[in-house]
Amino acid sequence: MKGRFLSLLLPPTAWLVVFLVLPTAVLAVSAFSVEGLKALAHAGTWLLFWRSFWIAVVSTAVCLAVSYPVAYFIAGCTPRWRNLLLFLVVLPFWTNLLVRTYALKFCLDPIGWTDTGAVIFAIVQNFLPFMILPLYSSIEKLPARLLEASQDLGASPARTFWKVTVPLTMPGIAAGCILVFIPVLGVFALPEFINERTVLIGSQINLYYGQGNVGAGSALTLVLMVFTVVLTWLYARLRKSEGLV
Amino acid sequence: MDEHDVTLRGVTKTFGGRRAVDDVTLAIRRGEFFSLLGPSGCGKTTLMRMIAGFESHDSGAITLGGADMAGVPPHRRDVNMVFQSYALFPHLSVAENVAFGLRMAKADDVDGRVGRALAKVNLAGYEKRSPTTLSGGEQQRVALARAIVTGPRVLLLDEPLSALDLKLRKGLQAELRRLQRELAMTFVFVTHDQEEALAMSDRIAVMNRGRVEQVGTPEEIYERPSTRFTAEFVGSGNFFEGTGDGRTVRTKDGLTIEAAASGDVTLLVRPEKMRLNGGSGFPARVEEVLYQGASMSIILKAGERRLLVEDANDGALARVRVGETTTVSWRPEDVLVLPR
Repeated sequence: MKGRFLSLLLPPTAWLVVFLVLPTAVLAVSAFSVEGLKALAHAGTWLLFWRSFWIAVVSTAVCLAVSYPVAYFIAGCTPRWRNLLLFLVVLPFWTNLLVRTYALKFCLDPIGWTDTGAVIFAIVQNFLPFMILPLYSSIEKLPARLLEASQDLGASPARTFWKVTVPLTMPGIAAGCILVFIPVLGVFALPEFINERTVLIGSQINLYYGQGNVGAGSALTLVLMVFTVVLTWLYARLRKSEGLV
Repeated sequence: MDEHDVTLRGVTKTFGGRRAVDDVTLAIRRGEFFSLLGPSGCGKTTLMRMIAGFESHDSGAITLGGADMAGVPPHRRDVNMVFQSYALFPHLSVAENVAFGLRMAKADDVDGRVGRALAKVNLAGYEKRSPTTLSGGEQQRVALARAIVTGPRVLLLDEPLSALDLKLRKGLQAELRRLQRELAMTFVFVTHDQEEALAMSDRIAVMNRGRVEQVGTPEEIYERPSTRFTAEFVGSGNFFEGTGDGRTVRTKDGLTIEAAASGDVTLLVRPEKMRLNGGSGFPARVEEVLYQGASMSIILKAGERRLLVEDANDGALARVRVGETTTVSWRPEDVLVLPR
């Protein structure tokens, strides 16, 4: 019995070792090199991290603000409309990222909008579905009776939203934010397309590897990974302490 | 004492061409335990949701404490509701659930009032628990405490006991009644369970297809039903359709029953008013004997007609055997005349 159980565990373990543990080890080894440490000692690197961080924060916030009403609206539709609207939400994924970004660039360039705002706009436009879908699924599960109970007890629709709807859809909000924030933190190509001077940490890593500077690329990647893991861990702890898990 | 907390005048509500509530006029008195009784789909829940403000009425008028409620949203109505599914907030503790309405009203002494409300429903000490860890009966009490703590003019209860098992339900029935007396609050209780309505209510409105069939005390509803629907829905009965000449009614299958009725009528004799082996009476054959503990049900066959007799299990009926012939009789004053 025990032997069979272990043999079932073997394929996924092997998968994880070959495709996650080993590459991370290689990454860590090459990060702790002269080039890697040099890149980390460079003040410009941290400026890039900082810029990537706040652009990711702002993009996630804008995504959330735009997606919540959309998801709320879709959840309130009849099943037929719901499916159609959800289909429209994921429709952009049928087109290649580059094609979409070029299309956006051709729209933004003529009106001369190429600053950081335009970069954030492009990011938001690309990542919206990752926010809308988890929000939709948690709003859709919200029992209508709870909203009625809240209003019945004297809460206006606005207060019902903040006191009942938002807390109860927190899992969807958190999932959407993680799904948007983490990839946006390491995003590359997209920002430079809109404005070639907007270099973020993802582009810098791409640049280092492109130049053959594996040490520096690995060091930056490792920092980004650690940062992401710490954030995810903090989030998991927060949810546990709120009893929402 | 003619003070009304809730009045409905000619209230009508249509859903997709179907009249869910059809020209309902009711006046619910202050401090009264008032039940809306009827089968599912009779409009009782819709009617209650209109009082709460979750549905608007197409025509007619609803007043609460004398004020017209047209266009007043739920959060501005002085009524609280106990939902069938309890609808407790899973992200809040028991105490915070109960405190919800007080916080919305920016009331003073929230903790004290929450504590007293929980004590009233025998849940003192449950403050910090999460509602998701409570049993159905306990959740029901939290829902009650949450609804009464703000002292609303009217409490609406939407089949609050239907999800509980029989024993618990009986206990909570008595508790609800006690609570209502103590608070002297107007309760509007929606149920499809006629026994529950008879046991708890000051007055009952029997509803059928969106209309009110009859309004009265439990005794009036049971002893003097004004329509066949009410007579059939509340309790069980033996019905005789026939034509009366003022002193007796003749049925199509040839029975002559003493009743002061004329024209086409339906007569009703309740099963517990019927007697077996009374000497005189109609001959009948015992088809089935159903033992029910405290009482017995006996199904008789008299000609083509089936009759239901019920009696307390006092030993007198214990000798009745399936297949034997007997006679069935009743007192003339136990015959109820219904219009046809």
